[in-house]
Amino acid sequence: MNDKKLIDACLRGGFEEFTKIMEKYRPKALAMSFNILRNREDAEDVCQNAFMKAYRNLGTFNQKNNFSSWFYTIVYNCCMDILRKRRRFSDFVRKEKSRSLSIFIEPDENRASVYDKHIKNILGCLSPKERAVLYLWACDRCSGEEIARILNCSWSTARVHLFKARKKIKKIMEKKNDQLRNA
Amino acid sequence: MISCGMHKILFRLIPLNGWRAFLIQKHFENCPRCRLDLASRDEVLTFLVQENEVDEICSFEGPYEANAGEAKKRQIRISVSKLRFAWTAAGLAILFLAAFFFLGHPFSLWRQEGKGENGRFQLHYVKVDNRPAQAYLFHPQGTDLVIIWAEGNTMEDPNGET
Repeated sequence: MNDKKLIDACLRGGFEEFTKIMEKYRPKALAMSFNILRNREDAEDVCQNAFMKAYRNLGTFNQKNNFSSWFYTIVYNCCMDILRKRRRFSDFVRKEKSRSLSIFIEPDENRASVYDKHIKNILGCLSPKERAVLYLWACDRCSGEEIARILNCSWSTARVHLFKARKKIKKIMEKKNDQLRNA
Repeated sequence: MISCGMHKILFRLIPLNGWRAFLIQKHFENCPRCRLDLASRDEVLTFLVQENEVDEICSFEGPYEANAGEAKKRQIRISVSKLRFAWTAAGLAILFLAAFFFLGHPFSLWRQEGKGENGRFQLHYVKVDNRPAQAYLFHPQGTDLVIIWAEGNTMEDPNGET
């Protein structure tokens, strides 16, 4: 069943159809939010919030538009909300960390992961907006117009973000390669 | 044809997204040399978490730590922008002083010339009884005083009119 039929069924009150939408879009939403936030727990929170918002506002969705773009906009806005909310705690965390109080959950370095520190550093060099643009461009193969619609910015701004992100990644890759060659 | 270097300078010089997007579309994405500076889709994909990898992922950073990193970056960005503002202000002040110093001289000369013109006294002709008269000017030294002595022409007209 395609998105349109599922949404029509949802609007008629079918919750099972919405579960199907969730199953279809959850991995995408989780991957996108994880790439932006770089934290699994936050990404899962974002996913949950985004689906709740989508369900509540499904009536406002214009069916002439692409559902995935509309849903990604919600996911992106939820990510930005989380970043904004948690920003104010960052100073407090830094101060407490300097006092060497271990009240915060440390990322588990020993846990098996396909991503090593090298990749972590590369993603960390980009801003959340750049990470979002890169994800949409590379993983979802969105066009410039679609990215601009999701990020709620102009086409030119999206293009500049993408250009800068690609350039940064290339630069870091070259630097890392040089380091490996020298070592 | 503008070279790649020139395009890079133009990109940095004018921080308008519309202009930058135009340069990206016209040059950076089409020039084979400039395209080497950009990561390809496949290269980018190796650094991003994709849909099929979602179940394997664990946090890169703790929730607050991730945001602390963002805040740190923001602080660095703010300090960089402050520094940029300070440098721009200093540059403008230097330019203003230089302009004042160099352009100050012609201005002062112009003012002096103006003063000279105002102090000069000119007299084209003097008429007495609606007839041209002999005029004498006296300028006593060390004063701004000018005395004009005009002598009416009382010579009789050859036709007998005065």
